[in-house]
Amino acid sequence: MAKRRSYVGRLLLVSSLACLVWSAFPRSVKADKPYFITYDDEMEEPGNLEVSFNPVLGLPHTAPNFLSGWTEFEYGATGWWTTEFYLDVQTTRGQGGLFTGYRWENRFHPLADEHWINPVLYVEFENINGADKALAEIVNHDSVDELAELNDEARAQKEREIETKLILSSNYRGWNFSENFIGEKNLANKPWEFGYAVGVSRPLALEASPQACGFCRENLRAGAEIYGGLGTWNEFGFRGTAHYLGPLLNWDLPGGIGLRISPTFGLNRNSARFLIRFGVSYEIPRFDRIVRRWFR
Amino acid sequence: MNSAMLRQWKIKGWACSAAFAGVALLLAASWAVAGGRSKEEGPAVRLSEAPASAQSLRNPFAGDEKAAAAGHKLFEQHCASCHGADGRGLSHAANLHAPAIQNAPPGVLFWALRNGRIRKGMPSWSQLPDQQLWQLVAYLKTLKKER
Repeated sequence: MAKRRSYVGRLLLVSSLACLVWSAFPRSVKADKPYFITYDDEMEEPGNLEVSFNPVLGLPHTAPNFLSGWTEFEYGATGWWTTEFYLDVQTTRGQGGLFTGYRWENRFHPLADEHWINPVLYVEFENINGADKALAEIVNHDSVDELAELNDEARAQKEREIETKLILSSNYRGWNFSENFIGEKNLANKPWEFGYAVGVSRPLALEASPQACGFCRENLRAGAEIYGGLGTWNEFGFRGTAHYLGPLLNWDLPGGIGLRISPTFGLNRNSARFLIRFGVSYEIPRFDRIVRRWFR
Repeated sequence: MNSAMLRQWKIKGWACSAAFAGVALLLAASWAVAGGRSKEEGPAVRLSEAPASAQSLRNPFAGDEKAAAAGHKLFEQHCASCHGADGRGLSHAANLHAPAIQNAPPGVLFWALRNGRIRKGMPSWSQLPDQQLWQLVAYLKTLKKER
């Protein structure tokens, strides 16, 4: 009973702190895309910080169910440079949970103007272990068999990798079309690994309504994304690779909070059967000014 | 200590140092970039660079009060954090009451919103549908009356 009371107490304390932090920052409404894996050309606004939690519930057919995910801190360093830091965790049924590593990514918008196709360059350093199940990108011959490895064994494998992406994105009549080409290199002497992600999305209403509203169509965005591996430098192609497809829904609430969901289906026997991805994000506008005020 | 272990330690040390150096560099750079902006930079939008085709674009919502009200809502959501709730500009962001902006053709403002000026901190708003950009332009034009 005492244990339960202490748990409730801690939960109340954390909730109160979260409310306090939430009320202390200025708020805006986001206009984010619903993608989980695909990147588009949208950069974080300069000085803004977005914090998001992205749990993934995995129901693979040949491995134990798991709950993994990442916490993401995205900062708009300038209008053309966005940087993000990720912390990955996972818990697998019957095997407990663990911290699986961190990732640091940078995205650069090389062109000044809007074009039919807008390129963005992406560079990421990953320091994760083999137990990572965030499935934040699928490359090489990543398959469901790797999800069956025991956490205690998989965590011993270190994966220090540089990941690059060419992001191409187009906006046309409210639709967004984004294509990502992924190249990943393990810093140990391994060949380049490749993957792809493609997404399309559109808001449910193109015009904004004059009234402030939470559950109105302009705040909802729907779409779909498909992603998978493309083998390695020596063995390029679809053979033996995993692929996933999922519909997407994003809801931007007033107050800077965004909610996303995507039930994702594995498309072949190399893929996990079913994943549900969730996302909760909160944007703090002009975080740079807030920090400067703290140190004044 | 055998050579494999030594190599592993070297890689680990290298990776940690790279990560910390990267984070430090990033913080310093973002601080310098954010802190280095000055009011003297002037309006971040470059209206004079708008193509001729933008000059002739007409706002489908011109004179529509509901569209201007929707534009006001969008302004509060996306623009007020930099330009201020009254649109007079905070820090480096442009004063939207300025004659250069108020006298600009609607199509030029639409172009400026869509393209931004990312080198000077004004983001591109191309992720918003055209209709919402025009609603924003309709609102911006109402600021003229408040000058």
